[in-house]
Amino acid sequence: MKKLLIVSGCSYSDPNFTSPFHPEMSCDWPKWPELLADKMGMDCLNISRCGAGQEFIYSNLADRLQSIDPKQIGLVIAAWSTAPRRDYSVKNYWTNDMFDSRGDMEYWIKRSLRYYYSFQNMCETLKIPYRQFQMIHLFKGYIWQQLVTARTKNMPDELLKQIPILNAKHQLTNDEINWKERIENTYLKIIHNSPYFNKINDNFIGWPTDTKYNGYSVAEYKLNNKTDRISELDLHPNASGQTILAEFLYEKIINS
Amino acid sequence: MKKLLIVSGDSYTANNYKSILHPELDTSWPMWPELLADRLNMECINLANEGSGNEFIYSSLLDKINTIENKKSIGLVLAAWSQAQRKDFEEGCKIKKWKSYRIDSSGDIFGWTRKSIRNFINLQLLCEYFNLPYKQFQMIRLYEDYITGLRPSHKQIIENNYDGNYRLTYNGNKSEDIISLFNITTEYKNTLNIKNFLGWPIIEQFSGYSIANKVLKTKINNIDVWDSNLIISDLDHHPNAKGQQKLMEYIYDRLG
Repeated sequence: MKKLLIVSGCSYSDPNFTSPFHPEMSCDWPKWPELLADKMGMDCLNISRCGAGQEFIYSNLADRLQSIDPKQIGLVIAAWSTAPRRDYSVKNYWTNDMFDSRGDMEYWIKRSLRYYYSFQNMCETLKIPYRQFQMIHLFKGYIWQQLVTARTKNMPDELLKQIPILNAKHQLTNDEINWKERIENTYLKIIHNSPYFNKINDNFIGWPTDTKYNGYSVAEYKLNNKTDRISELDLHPNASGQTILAEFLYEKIINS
Repeated sequence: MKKLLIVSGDSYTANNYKSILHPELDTSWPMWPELLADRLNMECINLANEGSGNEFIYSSLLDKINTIENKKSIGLVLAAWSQAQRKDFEEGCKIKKWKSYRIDSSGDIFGWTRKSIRNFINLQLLCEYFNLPYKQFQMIRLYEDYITGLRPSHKQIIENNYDGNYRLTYNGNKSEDIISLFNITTEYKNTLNIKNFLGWPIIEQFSGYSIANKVLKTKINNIDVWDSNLIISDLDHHPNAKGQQKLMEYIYDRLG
C-alpha cells in the first residue's frame, strides 16, 4: 500500500484553484502536491485552500496527524503563506481574512515563526518525515500593497479590484525605494532576532525565507514571471509553474 | 543553583493583578506560582498576564523555553489555561505588547476550543521533546462559562451598574453544544497525555474540572458557590491571599 504525502498550503497549492481574473479558464492542471506524490510513489492528501494563512495550514496538518496512523505517512509538507492572513472556523468550516484586523506585522511574523517551530517540533516528536517552506513571501506583498495604496488616488476597497493596480508596473521614486528598503530590513530583523532563527532546522527549504539572508520563498525563487504564471494579472502558477515547483521540491527532498 | 519554575496563565496567576472593582485594595499578595516556587525551592518565572487567552499562554511559554539554552536548568513548566474565546495579539512598541480581547470577533466557540486544544498538545510536545517536567490544567473553565453566559467584564459591571448575577447571552443550544464541545476534546485523546493534564477532561459534567472552580468554590445545599474566604469579593471572584495559598497547595499536592 502506498504511503501518504500530506500537504497543506494556500492557493498556490490548492487542488481546486480557480482564477478570479480568468473565470473562463479551466485551471484543473495538476498541482505540485499531486505531481510530487506521483514522483515519490505516494498517495496525495492535499488539504490546501485558497486564501489560507499559517493558522489554517498548521491546524489542519496538526489535526490530520492526530487521526492518521504515523506508519501510513510518507511525508508531511507545510507550504507557508503570507504573515498577515487571519484564519478561523465557524461551524467547523474554515474561512479567512487577507489581513488580521488585530496586531501588527511584528506580531504576524512572530506568530508565523511560532507555527513553523511548532510544526517542526510536532513532526520531530511524533517521528514523522516532514518538510516545510515559504511558498509566497512572508511580508513583501503587504509592503507593496502599503506602498501602492499610498501612491494611488481612490484605491478601491475590494481586494480583487486592487490587484490589477498592485500588479501593474510602477516607477518608484527614490523616497519610495528607500522606504521599502527600510521597512523590509525592519521586518527581516524580526526574523533574525527571533528565538527560532537558529532553531528552524534543514527540513525548512529556503530558510530563513529571504534572499538577503541567503534563503528564499519558493515561488519567488523558482517561477519565471513570463512563462510560469497564469498572467500578468493573476500571478498564480500555471501548469508549467506547478511542474517546476514539483520538480524543484522533489530534487530538494531526495537530495537532503 | 536553583532550578526554574516557568508558569504562564491569566489574571488568576498574574503577579500584576489589580482589581478594577476594588481599586483601593492592595493586591500585592504572593501569587500561587511564587508560593509554589518557594515550596519547590525553585526560582519563579511567572509570565502570566491579566486578561490573556490561550494563544498568549502557549506563545509566552514557547518563547521563554526557547531562549533558555540550558534546558536542564528548567525544573518544571506549568500552563494554567484560560477561556477559549479570548483573542490575544501583539501590537505597538511598548514593553507590554500583548493585548487581549475577552471575545474573539471572528470564529465560534467550537473553533476556539480546537485552537486551545492544539495549544495544549503543542506545549506537551515541546516539553516532551526537551524532556522537561510539565503539568497543565484549566485554571478557569475552557468553554462552559461562555456557553452558560459569560459574566460581564469588571469594567462593564462598573459602567453599566450590573449586579453579580448578570450574564451575557449565548445564542446557541447550550445542552447540545456542551456535548459537542466535550466530543471535540475527546478527538485529541490519542495524543494528549492526560496524566499530565490535571482535571482532564476539564468539564465537570464528565468528571473533569478547572482548578479555580475546584479549589475556590464550596458546596452550600449541594450547589457550588464561591467560597467568600478565598476570593476578593462577591463581585470579584479572583483569589485573595488565602485563595492563592489554597491554589498553590492543591497544585503542589498533584505534581506527583
